[in-house]
Amino acid sequence: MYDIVFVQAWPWWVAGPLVGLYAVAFFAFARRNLGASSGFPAVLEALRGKDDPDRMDLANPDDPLALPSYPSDPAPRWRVWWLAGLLAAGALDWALGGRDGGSLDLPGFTETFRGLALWERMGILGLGGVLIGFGTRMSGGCTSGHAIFGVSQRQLPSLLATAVFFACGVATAFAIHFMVGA
Amino acid sequence: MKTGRHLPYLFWGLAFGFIIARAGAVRFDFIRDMFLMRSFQLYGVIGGAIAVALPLFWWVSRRAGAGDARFKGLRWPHRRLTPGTLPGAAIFGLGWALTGTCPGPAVVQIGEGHWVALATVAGIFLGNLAYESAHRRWFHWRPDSCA
Repeated sequence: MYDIVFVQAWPWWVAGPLVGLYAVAFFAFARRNLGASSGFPAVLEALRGKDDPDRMDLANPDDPLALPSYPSDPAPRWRVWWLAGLLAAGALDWALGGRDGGSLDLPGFTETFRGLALWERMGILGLGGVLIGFGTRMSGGCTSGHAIFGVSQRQLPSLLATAVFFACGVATAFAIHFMVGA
Repeated sequence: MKTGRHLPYLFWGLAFGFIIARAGAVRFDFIRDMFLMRSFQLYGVIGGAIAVALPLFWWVSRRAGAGDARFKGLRWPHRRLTPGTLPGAAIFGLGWALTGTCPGPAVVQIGEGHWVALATVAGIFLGNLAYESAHRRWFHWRPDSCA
């Protein structure tokens, strides 16, 4: 039982509906839209010492949960905390699952890019990271914001963006596959 | 106190991170096998999430539109298509396949002790900074709110 919950990956028909329920619960209770990618500009704004643009506490005193400035806030501070929660979730998963943490590898990563030195592999991750940061900021969302929230809320721009980043991801993965043969 | 106001989001993040970690959505091999059509797992996770969330969101939006007091003050988002939406998505797709991670999972990977993910996250910050100066210099549209 412990194995099924904490060690093996949950089957998609458990994890998928859970993510869907989470999305609706977050929107209904936290009253915000989610997206991991905009946590990064929120961290940058915090480091620059900017004030939190999310003025939830200032308006609509009869409904403390109402969001006057939503959804135009560029990088509200709560996203930093949400991102910190992701970090904690990783640590929890590592502690409970007892997998291959504390390593300079990702599962399957070295195998795919075998023959490359560590600094070259880190260069690939760094370059990929730059593309992720630039692309998500330009596009206004990533897998969570566009594919899960946007599509479920019937936002056409999100549906189109999702189609484009999936197509581009498939093409890139096959290109890598045929170049390095893994 | 600001911290008390923000603290719930730490737990929301913890819950989301744990679900996607247990789904395998933070694993390079799972994402690679999704793109190479070797595994249905993550298509099932994303598709299953949409299949559950879409009708529920539809119901929430309908109730909120009908003036249901439970959803008072809830604002339905309106995403705009900007000239950057689709090119940005293409650039993101390239990075997603190269690193086998999207922005959220990259952070989870660090928590899991996969220290190379520090390079991915550093790259994401750099990419954000690069986009900010590129946008100021060359792009003249109003950016859509980042979801």
